Amino acid sequence: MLDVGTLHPSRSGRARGLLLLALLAAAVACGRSAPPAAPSEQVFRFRLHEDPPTLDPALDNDQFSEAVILNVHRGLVELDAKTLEIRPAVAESWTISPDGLLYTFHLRQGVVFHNGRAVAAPDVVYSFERLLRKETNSPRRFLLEPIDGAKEFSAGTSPAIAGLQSPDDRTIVIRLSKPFAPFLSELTMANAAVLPREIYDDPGKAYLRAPVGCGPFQFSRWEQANFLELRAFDRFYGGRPALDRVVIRMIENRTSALQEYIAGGLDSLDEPPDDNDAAMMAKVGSEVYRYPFMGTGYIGFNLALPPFKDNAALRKAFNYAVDKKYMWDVLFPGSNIAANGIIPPGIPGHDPDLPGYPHDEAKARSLLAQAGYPAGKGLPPIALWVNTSEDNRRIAEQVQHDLKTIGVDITIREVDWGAYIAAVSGTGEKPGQAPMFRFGWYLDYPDADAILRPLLHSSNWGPAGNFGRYKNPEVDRLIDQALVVVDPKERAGLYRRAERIAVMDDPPWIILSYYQAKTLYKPYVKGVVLSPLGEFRLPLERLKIERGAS
Amino acid sequence: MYANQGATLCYSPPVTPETSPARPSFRPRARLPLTIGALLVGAFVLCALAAPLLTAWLGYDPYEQVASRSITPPTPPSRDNLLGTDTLGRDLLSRLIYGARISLEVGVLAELIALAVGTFLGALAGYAGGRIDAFLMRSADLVFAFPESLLALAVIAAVPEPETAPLLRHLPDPSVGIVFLVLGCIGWARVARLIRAEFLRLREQEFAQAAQAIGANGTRVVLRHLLPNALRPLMVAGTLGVGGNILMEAWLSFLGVGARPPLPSWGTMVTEGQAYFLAKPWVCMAPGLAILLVVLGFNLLGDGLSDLLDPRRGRAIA
Repeated sequence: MLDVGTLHPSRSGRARGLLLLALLAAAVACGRSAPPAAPSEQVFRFRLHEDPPTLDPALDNDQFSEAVILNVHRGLVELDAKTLEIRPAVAESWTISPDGLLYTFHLRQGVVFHNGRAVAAPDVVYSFERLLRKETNSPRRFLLEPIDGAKEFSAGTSPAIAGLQSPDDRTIVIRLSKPFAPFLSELTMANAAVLPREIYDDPGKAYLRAPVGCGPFQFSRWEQANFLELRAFDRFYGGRPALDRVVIRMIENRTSALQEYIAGGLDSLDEPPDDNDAAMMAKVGSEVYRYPFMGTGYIGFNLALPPFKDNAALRKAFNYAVDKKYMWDVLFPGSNIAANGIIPPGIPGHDPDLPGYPHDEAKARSLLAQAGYPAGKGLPPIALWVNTSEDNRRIAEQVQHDLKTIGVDITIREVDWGAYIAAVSGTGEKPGQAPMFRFGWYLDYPDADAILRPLLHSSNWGPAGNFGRYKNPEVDRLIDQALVVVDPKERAGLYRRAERIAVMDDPPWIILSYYQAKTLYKPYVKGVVLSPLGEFRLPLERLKIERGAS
Repeated sequence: MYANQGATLCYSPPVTPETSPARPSFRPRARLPLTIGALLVGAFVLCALAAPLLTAWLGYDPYEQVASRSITPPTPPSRDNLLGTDTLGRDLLSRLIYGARISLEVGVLAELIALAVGTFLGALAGYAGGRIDAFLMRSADLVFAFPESLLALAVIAAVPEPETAPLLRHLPDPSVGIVFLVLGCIGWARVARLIRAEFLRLREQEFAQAAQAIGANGTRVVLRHLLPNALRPLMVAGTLGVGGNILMEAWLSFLGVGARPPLPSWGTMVTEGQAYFLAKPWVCMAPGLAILLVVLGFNLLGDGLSDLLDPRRGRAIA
């Protein structure tokens, strides 16, 4: 999934902190705060940078939307945010046939939508059909495409999905067209939520402003650009959550958000102060939680255009030239970890022994000469694109500096997120215009497929994730093969091989970092889950507020 | 012979009722701002011109990462780095000194463009009058209708990659080039209005009419008689304009559309330092203060010059 920031997924790059503006924003933010809590009420308030782009599970493709949707909705199965195991949700159990083709789900008794109606098997069929339907225009239709007949249904040539049946009210049977190992993982994603037809068939689309699901929290109200409120759902199948109310506040400016957290208007914050901001860290340092976060940051090469096209030596030279250890250990201490590969730690297939590209100026120079550009002579102008943010600019400038040491001059191009993503990703047919671009990807589910396939498989050129138009037949083959292998060890081995080829022989990027998340929580917030899926994957139903002690 | 006559005429102060002294005496105290302004501007120009010498003497390249590779920059001021280092560990003082070059380059070149274009068009409008005047002044109104800063921002943003743009790419720093070109092209309107107003006044005066009466052609009247008399307001406007351009360049760089990294533009340096505003204030205070002092210097100098050169303020009539 797209990560919109660098060190932490952050959209706040645009918010430049002119002090005056920051104070003004803080004042405004304070002025419009959400309704206060009754003393005995359990309320948890956290921050999003801006309004979630959508509350429709089918359209979700970003972490802000997901932060709301995953707490309002449930699918057949869910991902335990802590252990990353696949757990029962609307389905209480399931079986998979030995050939990996037939999935049978048995629905739980007593699952109720927020409008009071019981969830039944036809709701699952309806929801899956809705996700696949062309008119829905979901960016994540591909999740259900492994189901037999799903593509025909999407294309409109078949009135129903051949491989999706509900023999009775409590059973769902799914037949895949070929084995697809991560299928169950994909069903844990927000897009596969079970939805009530009577709400989601509304041509007026009222559900966009007032979603109805069967998750632990029900939607209460949404004042755009201000706050969104959720309430505990009394009849949640997993028991009523301890929190009575959740208030999600939209505060774009990082400085104002931090001030609001310190003032007590937020119970959690995704952007703690910098480690070297001693004054701030003295105030809130003890409330910072750090934890690994499944994602990889990189600087992509546009492989459709010269000079990077068909020139692996040049890409290797750039990789050796950039000092990642200095970047992450010294320039941004306590944030990310210098990466040696693509698959982040904790994911089966991660290879701690991969040599990667440690900083080596001499090697970089000789590879540069080998690439046909001795000391950078003859290179066309190269622009490194970044989306506007102070951290991104600093990273870009460090890369610019390091490349300059081997004689390569690059320019930096800062662009707002919307324009940036269009220019960088290109379309399915046309390559993007950026020769180099900063990017990051976090995994939607804990499987190497969730990063290798979108970013490196040649079938995903363009907005699907492979922005640089990487194509390596051997890597393609290994990724495809790993999908149909059931043995986890063997799969991990295949991913390791694919990664080694991509990184060491034909690098698609300057590989920069494995992500690490930092989040602030007030001491009275109990039950915090530090999820490798990121700070916005917080299972709110596990939280409790214990103010007594503090 | 005519030339002598013309020259004599044009250097004699205009004598009209409106030029009689409004204030009887010149107070020496009024010179203080002028002196401070001149000192600030002088120091700044010296810094800019001698930047390579100064930084060589300090022993630092403004683009080199000199802070220890084990300490998170910005590092505080020390004996080695008098102002400390910036967010990437580069010597702040030498960057500041090199930043003066960018400021001076943009400030002066933009103003030269504005003066050249503005004087030509203003003279044309003021002397020719009629439809040409109307057309030129409505064009100037059009430029004034947009806030200068936003207009500059929009134009510069429309050339996202000056490094590959025609013409610009031949300049040593294309991203600085576009800034002074755009600021110069916007600044003409301000100068043109001023010159036109001066010309309208001057052309009705005896010396100008006399020159015309004895047969001098238009170009000659403008160049030898009118223009030299309009030099004083032009000098004042030019000086104030340089300060304005420097401020505008800093503002554009602050927003990320001016000088591109790694160029040490003061505006960029303020942006980079603002995240450390409370913890390590010198990182953004130093360039901020530099901008403040230089702009102040040009404004004081401009005001001082205007006091000194304006015959209505006294002393000048000898």
